[in-house]
Amino acid sequence: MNSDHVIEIKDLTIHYEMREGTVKALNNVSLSLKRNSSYGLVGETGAGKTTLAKGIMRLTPTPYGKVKSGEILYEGKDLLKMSPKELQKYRGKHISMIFQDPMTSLNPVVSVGKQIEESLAAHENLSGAELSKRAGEILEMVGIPAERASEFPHQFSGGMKQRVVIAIALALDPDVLLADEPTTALDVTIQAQVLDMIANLRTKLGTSLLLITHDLGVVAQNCEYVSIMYAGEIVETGTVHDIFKNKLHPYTEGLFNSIPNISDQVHRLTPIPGLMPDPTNLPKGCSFCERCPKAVEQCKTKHPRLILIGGEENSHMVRCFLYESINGG
Amino acid sequence: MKNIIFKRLIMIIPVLLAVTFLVFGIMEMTPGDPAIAILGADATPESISLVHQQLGLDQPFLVRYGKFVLNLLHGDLGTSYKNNLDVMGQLMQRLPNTLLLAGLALIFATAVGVPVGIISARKQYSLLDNICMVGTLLGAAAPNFWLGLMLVLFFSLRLGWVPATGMVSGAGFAKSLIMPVITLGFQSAALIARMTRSAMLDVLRADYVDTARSKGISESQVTFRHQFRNALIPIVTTMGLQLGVMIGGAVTVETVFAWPGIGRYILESINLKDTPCVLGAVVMLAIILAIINLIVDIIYAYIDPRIKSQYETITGKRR
Amino acid sequence: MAQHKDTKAIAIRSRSLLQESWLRFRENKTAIAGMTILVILIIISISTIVIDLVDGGATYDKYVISQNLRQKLALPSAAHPFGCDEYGRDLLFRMLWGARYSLFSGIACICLATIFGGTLGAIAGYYGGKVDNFIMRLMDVMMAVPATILAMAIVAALGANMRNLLIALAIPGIPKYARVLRSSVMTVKGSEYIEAAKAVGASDKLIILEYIIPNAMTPLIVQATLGVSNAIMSIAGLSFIGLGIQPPAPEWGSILSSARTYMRDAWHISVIPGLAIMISILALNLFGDGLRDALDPKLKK
Repeated sequence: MNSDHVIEIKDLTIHYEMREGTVKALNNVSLSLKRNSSYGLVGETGAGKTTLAKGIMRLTPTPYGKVKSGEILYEGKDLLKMSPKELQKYRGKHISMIFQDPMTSLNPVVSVGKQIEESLAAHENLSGAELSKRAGEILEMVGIPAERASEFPHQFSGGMKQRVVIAIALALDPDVLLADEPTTALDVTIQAQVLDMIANLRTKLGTSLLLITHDLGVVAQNCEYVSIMYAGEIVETGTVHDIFKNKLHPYTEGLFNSIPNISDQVHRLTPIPGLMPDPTNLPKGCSFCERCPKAVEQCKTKHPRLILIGGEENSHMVRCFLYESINGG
Repeated sequence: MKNIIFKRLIMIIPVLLAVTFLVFGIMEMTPGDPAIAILGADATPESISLVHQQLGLDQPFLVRYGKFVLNLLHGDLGTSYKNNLDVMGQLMQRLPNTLLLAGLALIFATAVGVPVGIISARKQYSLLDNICMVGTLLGAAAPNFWLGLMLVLFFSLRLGWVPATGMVSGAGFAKSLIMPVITLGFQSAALIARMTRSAMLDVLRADYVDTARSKGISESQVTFRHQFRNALIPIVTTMGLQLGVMIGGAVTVETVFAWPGIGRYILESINLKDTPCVLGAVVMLAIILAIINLIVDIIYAYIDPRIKSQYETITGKRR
Repeated sequence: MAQHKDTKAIAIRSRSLLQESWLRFRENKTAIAGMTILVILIIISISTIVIDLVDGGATYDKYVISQNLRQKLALPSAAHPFGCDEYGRDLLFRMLWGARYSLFSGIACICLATIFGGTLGAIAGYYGGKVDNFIMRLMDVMMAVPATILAMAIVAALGANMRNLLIALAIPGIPKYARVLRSSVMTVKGSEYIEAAKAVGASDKLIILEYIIPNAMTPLIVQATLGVSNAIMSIAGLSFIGLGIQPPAPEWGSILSSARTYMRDAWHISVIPGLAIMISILALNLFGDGLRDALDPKLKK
């Protein structure tokens, strides 16, 4: 166990056993988060990003969501083996999560102040007055006047709601913050505000960040490391610098190519043709094979594994047969 | 809050006034001369016009309407043609019976419907859920008067457990209540069960429940402070609606069980062509329903702060 | 079924709304069952009307109306599958001839209510402001009296025949459809294609007819279907208390009413008509639910 890493995910597999078939949402995913660092997790809708984040918090939807294998180590302790009561001690205090849609993330019938206090009260022994005082301070930390603590979520705009959500998540100064597309539902200008605020609070409190997004621009500005997910697996991972400079996996290349360049004169956008494979019926070979412009015969029958290529911190890995020979196959 | 109540009260009054006008107008169209109804078919023209004068029937429509409203404000709902008794007094005897029936039926419907809905939601897609869903479908489709007849057929006539009809005073009172209450409440129980189930399903998977769990609070706090509080809103709305429906729909149940309530009173008065009784009873029902709706709205504003905000910003506009 | 991001990738083909809705509807077994029962009821109703027209009411007179006191209160048997009523009339025949009262009266009543209510609601939603306020206040007035009681009062005033019954039951229903149309109209009104149409100079009437009404159809159809089931219940109820369709017409509710006196010896007269009413209402509810799920799957739980 590396004490440098606050969370280590090893071979995590999560399936959704539905009536129409089993959705293989996450397959043997391994990821480690270092202390006080920021990680981006990029992928299309359905790639498994939310499944991974919720899996860490053990918020996988029941009864159809099943963790099939793997370990999630927080400072050496496996979260998957903890009892509900133990888990409750970690959630909110050591690991926090914020969700995608601020409009539905807050309980509409409880005041925002009380929702912050709830988080505090679950982990600390404070009096009623102390709780409200702290809640007010936390609101101020995200730029909302403390007097508004007695108001209800519907009385805030989308951006402010998200700030409340962030306030709740960071109230107890956790080591890790999982942010699932926190700005997708917001205006671009508000996006910038919210991301800035997360960045500031992060540095102040020393929190690690796992930022899930489909926007490479956001990753560039906010993350040190990034992992690209496709069809339930990580297909490329490394420092942001490495990946932005050397896009190894054809999917990563495709993602970057589909972003229009502001200085180029383009008549059409170049998306990646096709769709992600049906997660109840994943192909035998490489999941990206059908859409890959560089596919070879091997790709259809054999499943590639993650290979270490090198890079800045010797952390650049890719899952593609094109690079097998580099590392001895 | 008091402001809201006051505003809503003010809004009710013109509506109720219009209702009195509407009902008064409808009853005006009733064929037949009340004087003949009182005196008999072979009455002399003189006695007929005398009765017309006594009853004020020789006055124009608007004048009579005006008098009616004035009397209404004094608590006088008119006098029966048939037995010359005060309508208000008669209603006061019958009204509590209907309100008791409807109130108990609502309690029954909630006590049965909510747990069924919760269990159904918790065990979605299970056999139990399917059985409950079929049950609610049947319950919602069965006419209450037929259900009453079936209950009477089975429990009174075949098994003899409870009296078949009528309101028994004294010791047998409770027993005589059982079947009418079940009959009246059954359909509402089915609807409340369905609403509870769908409300629970909504809250069980809600995003804010994930947020709540991610804070590390206990499961029971999640259930009560987050899930239950939110599920309550549509459930209470349905309960309020059903109470109004039951008060209106009590007439068929009262007929089956010969229950001396306001529904049967209206029916009897209609059959006797006793117009003032019908008029008074209908107006009274409208007033009661308006009060019940107001109370439900207030409760609603209490449990849902979004509604409270809406009310606070209304300046006479519709919601 | 819960929404989850990992859904199947579906081949995308363009289909019309009707086709898609039908495909969804087809998969719903209970809705199909409901529709089947409805179709059977409609066939029965139409058949009895046709038979009456063809033989000038002879069958009706012989089997449905004429009394045969030797068969009084006969229990179900091979000769009379549903038994006989207190006048010796075959109950099966009475039931078959009674179907059309419930079904067609229900449909007629709702048609009236949707036309009047829908028009009012559309006007209210489209013009907004004072017009909206006034119309909605009017609706409040109609809703202030419980529907059954209002219907009773109207029937009392106008007399208990078919036409008045329809009016009496349509009036309490008007506010509901007014609301449905009003909210549909208000939703559509804000759409940009309406602004575009106005910019090109389309008249109000044209906009309402060509754009707004087609879009408002979906919720209206669903509500109307459930409304018919309500109407059937109300008609049976009013007939049961004697204010609806009068005997000797074999309306199911009024059959139940006379059944009361003979419950002890003739259980069949009280069980069978009620069962028929329940099945009709159930069929309509299942069909209406299926329609709603098919036309707008987002509403499905």
